[in-house]
Amino acid sequence: MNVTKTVAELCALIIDEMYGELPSRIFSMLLTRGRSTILDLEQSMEMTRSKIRHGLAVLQQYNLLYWHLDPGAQHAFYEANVENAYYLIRAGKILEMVETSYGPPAKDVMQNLLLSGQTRIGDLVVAYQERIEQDNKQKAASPDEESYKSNLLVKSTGQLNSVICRLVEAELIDLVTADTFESPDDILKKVEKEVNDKHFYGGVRGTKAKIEYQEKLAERLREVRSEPKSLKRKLEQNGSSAKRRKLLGGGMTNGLVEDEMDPALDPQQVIRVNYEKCTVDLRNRRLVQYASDLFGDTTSYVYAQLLRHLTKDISRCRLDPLVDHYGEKEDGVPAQKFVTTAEILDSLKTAIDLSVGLGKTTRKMLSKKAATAIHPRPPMMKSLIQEAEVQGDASSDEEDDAETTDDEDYDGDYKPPPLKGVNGNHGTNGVNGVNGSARADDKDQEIVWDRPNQLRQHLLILAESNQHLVRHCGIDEWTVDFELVMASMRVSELDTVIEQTTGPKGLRLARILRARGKLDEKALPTIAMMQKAELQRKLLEMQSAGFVHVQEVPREPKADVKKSFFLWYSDLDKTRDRVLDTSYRTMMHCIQVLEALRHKDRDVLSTTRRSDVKGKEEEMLRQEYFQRYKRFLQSEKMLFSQIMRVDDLVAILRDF
Amino acid sequence: MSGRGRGGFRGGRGGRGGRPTNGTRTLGRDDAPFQIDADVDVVLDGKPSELFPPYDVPKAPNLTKKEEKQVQNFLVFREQCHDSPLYTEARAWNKGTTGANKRTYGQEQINKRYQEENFVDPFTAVPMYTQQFLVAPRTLPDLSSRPFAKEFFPPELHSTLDGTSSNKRRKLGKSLGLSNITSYKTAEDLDLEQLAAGMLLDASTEEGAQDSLKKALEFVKNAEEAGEDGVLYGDEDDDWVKNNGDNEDGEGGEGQEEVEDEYDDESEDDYNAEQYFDGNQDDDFDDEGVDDGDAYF
Repeated sequence: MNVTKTVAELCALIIDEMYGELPSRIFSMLLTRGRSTILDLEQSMEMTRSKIRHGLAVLQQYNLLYWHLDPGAQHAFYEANVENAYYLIRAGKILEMVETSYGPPAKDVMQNLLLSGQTRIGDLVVAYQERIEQDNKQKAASPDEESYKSNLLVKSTGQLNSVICRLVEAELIDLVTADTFESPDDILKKVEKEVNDKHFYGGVRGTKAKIEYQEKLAERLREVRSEPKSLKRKLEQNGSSAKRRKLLGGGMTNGLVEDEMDPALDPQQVIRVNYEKCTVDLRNRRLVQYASDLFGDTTSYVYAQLLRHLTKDISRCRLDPLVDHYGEKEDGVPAQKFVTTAEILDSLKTAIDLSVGLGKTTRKMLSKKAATAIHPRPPMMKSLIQEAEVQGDASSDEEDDAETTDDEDYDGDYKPPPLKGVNGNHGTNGVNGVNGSARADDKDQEIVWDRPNQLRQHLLILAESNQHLVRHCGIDEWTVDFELVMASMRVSELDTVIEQTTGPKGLRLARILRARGKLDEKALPTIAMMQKAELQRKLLEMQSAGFVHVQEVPREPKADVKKSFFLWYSDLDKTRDRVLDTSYRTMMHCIQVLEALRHKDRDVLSTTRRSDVKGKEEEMLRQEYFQRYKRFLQSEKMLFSQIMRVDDLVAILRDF
Repeated sequence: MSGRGRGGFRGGRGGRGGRPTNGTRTLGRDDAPFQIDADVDVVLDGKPSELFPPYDVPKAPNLTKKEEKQVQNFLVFREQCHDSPLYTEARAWNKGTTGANKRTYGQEQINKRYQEENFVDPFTAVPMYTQQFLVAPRTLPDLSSRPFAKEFFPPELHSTLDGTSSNKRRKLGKSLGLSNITSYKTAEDLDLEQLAAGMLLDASTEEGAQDSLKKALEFVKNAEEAGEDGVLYGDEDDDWVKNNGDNEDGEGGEGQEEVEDEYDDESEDDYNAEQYFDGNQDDDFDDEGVDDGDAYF
């Protein structure tokens, strides 16, 4: 993450909101000053050392710091962990995701883990045990033991153990190791030194040696990186976990049956939430939603299962160029993961009717060969300009020319599933081609397909999309090129922002500029088919919003404004950065507004925080106060939901 | 009031309560920006300016069920964080963390924001009954109450983790207490509660107490069920698609209003601080003090 001033301020505000004022102040100082020791902090913050120590301890407990201690040195260097600070805002989403995917007990554990930062497993177990005992006492004390309804989600330590195992297997929880709190730079330095000492004592000479050096480095870095996953590997070696997963279909823990099957965890080990993997899972859900918007619900269920299988072993969204570049390749061909149709079929719930969402068309409208073509290699990463032109490649039989105009309904393509392919409009997405193959065998009769075939059709629909949702990489083998999907999703997301800000005309201009590259101001009116004055107004509006940019090229050595070319262009990366910055600002503003509201209603809030009022505000507060309290809660919720929504955008543009 | 001598009208600012102005205002000397020569009698047109052109304010769509859950989760989580012994709070609201003088120059001024105010508010200085319920904000995290995985902290912090020297009440068994907070009320929850309570109130006054009680219980039960419906876990877990549906929980809007009516009667207690000051409202008082006075009763 690029740490700009806005990000720094936002992170400080978030920490202030969640963990309080002291850690927030120290965090923001660490961001301003960079890497510093306790002495530096003491000097720059003009604060007592004990206070600083307390603040640092809290930050460290919540995984918001990197620290590095040189051997023999007295004071450690501290560095702020901006990513984790930002992820705090996503806590609600992560919890919701865990709850729907792994059940409420898992959410409870996750929440407590988020709440307490890095935790020894033993401590967590003790805490839960206390809670359970307390509950038992209450149960005994209650008059009617039978009807006593316990509100505990985790009912025994055995269940706790199995929930933790489950989450570790999903990589949502990982182990804290000695290297966890070294900053990435420190790790790199350490590994470089190690490799140098071990293999290249005399220094690296020659190109061959350099490549070898890089490989050794990447290998060692991967080892370091996978250390927190050691617990997961251990659990996987234990054969029971896979069996159990199969028995329960990856679904809920019911806490009673399979407690004994999980190995007991070492209580001395320390665990924490793994945000990287959480991001992967959140990305999956966003992709499924994207597919659902494009193709309808049934297809997106299929997609969800595909993604679930595929990302089981993907631990991060963005690959590290230094580490992953060398690792993936063997004999020049990147080792790719794929999922077979059978695997998806096994895990798909039988309640889902796969016949829904498949359309029909006549035989001559389709090209079976193009529809079921196999692409063993990922398409080259193209710039968007080319991409716009290659659109419709899959269904090239039918449409070639009308593409630029059809771009507009790129997003608005969604129709209720049963109607799909009925009107010829859908030709751009090539859906017809697939559905038509249904008819290829039998012309007039309504064919009833078996389930595997229906599933295959859904997958083919996904594979044919221009959004690169799925690639058909072998017979009955499917994979996803995440970079390409995310690129298309990012573009569509940015397009929405542009349209919201500058209207459909603005979006049209941005797309023209994207497709044509740099355009002279004089040539634009004819290409865009707009009047000059209107065009200029629009372009200026867009320039101030950061969506298009202008370059001035003098015609002669002596620059003259009248004789210069003005080249307009639209750069996606620049737009993205601008939108991200605005998003951070918006979030910051939301938190500041909340603070202002708190200030405004401070009399009410201080009363509601009183121990005798808390929980029974309605009886204790006067009506007028109560109304104000209610209004405050309402605006608080609205502000946070605004933040969550903006964060959705940030996630797509930056993290996924 | 500096304006009194020169300007010749009360309050000195803005001509409040001064001579009749007929829609125009005379600027006080001090108000005129320095570019304008205040000696020349500057008369500004004080009429309201033209209305802003109609502007279509973009309105965000309602929260979906999924978003609702996310926000709720977040709020509960935040509340638990605030409850934890590591939370520190020193909100210096009056010191310009909000408002105009947000800008600070130098660390000293920043630090000042968080310092305790050594200013005694005469209204709260007298010990009162309710003060025992006040929760004092923590300025230092209470590290001694919970266990830490010390091997992952730099050695220089280890002594701090054991608890400060002044605060050495090391408990025998430190434990990672789980938070007791399981919910955070939203405005909607409060509405429901109020509705149910209103029904109960009916019961105490009217003859058919039993009926009303039943009604109220039923209502609460229904509300609970409606709440549970929204949670889509269980056998049909992991439904990533369906959870996005719109939130279409209807709310008994009419019932609410009724209840509010009732409360209007009730709120006329015999002691009403605002009424006490009511007569003086038009005075030139800066009535900020009243605001503070409201805080206790």
